[in-house]
Amino acid sequence: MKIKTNLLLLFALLLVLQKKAAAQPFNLDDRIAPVELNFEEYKKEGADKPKGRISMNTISQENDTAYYYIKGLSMYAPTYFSLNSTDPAADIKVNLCKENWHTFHQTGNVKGKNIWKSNFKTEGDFGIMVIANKKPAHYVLLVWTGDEMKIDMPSVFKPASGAGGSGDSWFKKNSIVVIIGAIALLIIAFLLYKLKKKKS
Amino acid sequence: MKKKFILILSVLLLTAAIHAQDDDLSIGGENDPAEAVNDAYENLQGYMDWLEERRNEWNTIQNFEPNACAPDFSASSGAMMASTCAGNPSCSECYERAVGELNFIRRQLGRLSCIYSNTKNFNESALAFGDNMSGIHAVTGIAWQNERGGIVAEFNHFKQTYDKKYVDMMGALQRALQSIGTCEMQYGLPDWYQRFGFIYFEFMKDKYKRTD
Repeated sequence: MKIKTNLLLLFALLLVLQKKAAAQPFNLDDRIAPVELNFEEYKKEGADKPKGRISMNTISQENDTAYYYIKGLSMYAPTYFSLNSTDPAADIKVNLCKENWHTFHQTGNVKGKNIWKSNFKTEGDFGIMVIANKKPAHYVLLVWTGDEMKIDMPSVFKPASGAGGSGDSWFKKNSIVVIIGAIALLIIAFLLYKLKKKKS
Repeated sequence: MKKKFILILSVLLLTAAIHAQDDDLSIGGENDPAEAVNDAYENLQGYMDWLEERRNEWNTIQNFEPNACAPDFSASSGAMMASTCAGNPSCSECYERAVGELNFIRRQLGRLSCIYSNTKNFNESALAFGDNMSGIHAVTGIAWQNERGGIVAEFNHFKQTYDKKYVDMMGALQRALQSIGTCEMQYGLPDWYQRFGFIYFEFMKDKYKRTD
C-alpha cells in the first residue's frame, strides 16, 4: 500500500515537472494569443466509466487565422484530433505545431462538408493553427486523449543458469555430454587395461 | 381585372415567403453545428474501434513529430539481472508484484527523460528562433535580450527540478529492486540484490543522470 502511494506520488511529481516545461508553441508576436482548449472526462451514454478525456469545441471564426493549444497529454496515451465543417462553402487549412507556429508537423485541408482527422502520441501539448480561406468559418474542433496504453517492455531478466552463479546448472544443462564422455573414458581405460594385460 | 391583380400579387407574395423560409432552412441545415458534432463523435468512435482492434498497442500509434523522443527501455547485457523467480510458480505472486513496480518506474523514467529532452529541444529551438528574428529589427533585438534571459533562467530552474525528480525516482527504483531481492531471498538466490540488483541500479543511475 505504501509503495503504491509512493508510486502515485511520483506520477504526480512528473505531472508537475511537465507543467514546469513550456506549454504551447513559442512565438514572439504579441498579436498571436492562442486560446487554451480544455479537456473534460469523456463518458459515452450508458457507459459505466469514462473513456479518456475530450475537448469538443464548436467555433465560428471571423479572423483569417485562429490559434489554439491543448496540454496535459501523455506520450503513453493515444491522442485523436479532428476538424470538421458542415458548411458546403468551407475552405479551411489546419496546421498542428509543437515548437513554434512556423514548423508544421501535421497539416490538412477541409473543403466543403468534410473532416480532417489525425491521431498520434505526444508528450505535453501541441498547438492548432486554423486558417480560414473563406470567412466566417464554422467548424467543430475535437481533441480526445485516451488512457495510457500497455507497452511491451523488453525484459531486464535472464535465467539464473546464464548468470554463471551456479556450478550445478552447467552439469544439468550438459548432463548427456558428461555421461557420454564418462562412459567413453571408462571404455578407453578398460581397453588400455586389457591391452596392457595382454602385452605382459 | 382588380381581382386578377390581387390574385397574382398573392401568388407572388406566397412564393417569396416560401423561398425565404427555404433559405432559413438551408442555413440551419447546412451549418448545423449539431450535425458536425455528431459527425465528429462518430469518427472518434471509429478511431476507438480501430484502437481496440489493435489491442491498444502503443507501438501502433505514430509520433506527432518525426524526431519525437522515444523512451529507451533496453539494458546492456552486463546489467541484465539473473532470476530464479521468473517462471517459478511458487514465487510468482511475490515476483510479479515487485516486477510490476519495477516496470512502472522504468516507464516513468523513460517519460522523465523525454520531458527533459523535449524541453531542452524546445528551449534551443526558441532561442535559435528568437536570435534569428531579433537580427531583423533593432527594437525587437533589445526586447529579445530580456526574453532570452528569461528563457535561459527558466530552463536552469527546470534542470534543478529534473535533478530532484531523478533523486526521488532512483529511491523508488532501489525500493522496487529490493522487493525483487526479498522474493529471490525466499525462493531462489539469497544475495540477489548485492549480486544483480545493485548492478542494474548503478546502470540506471548512469543512464538517467543529467550530463549537461
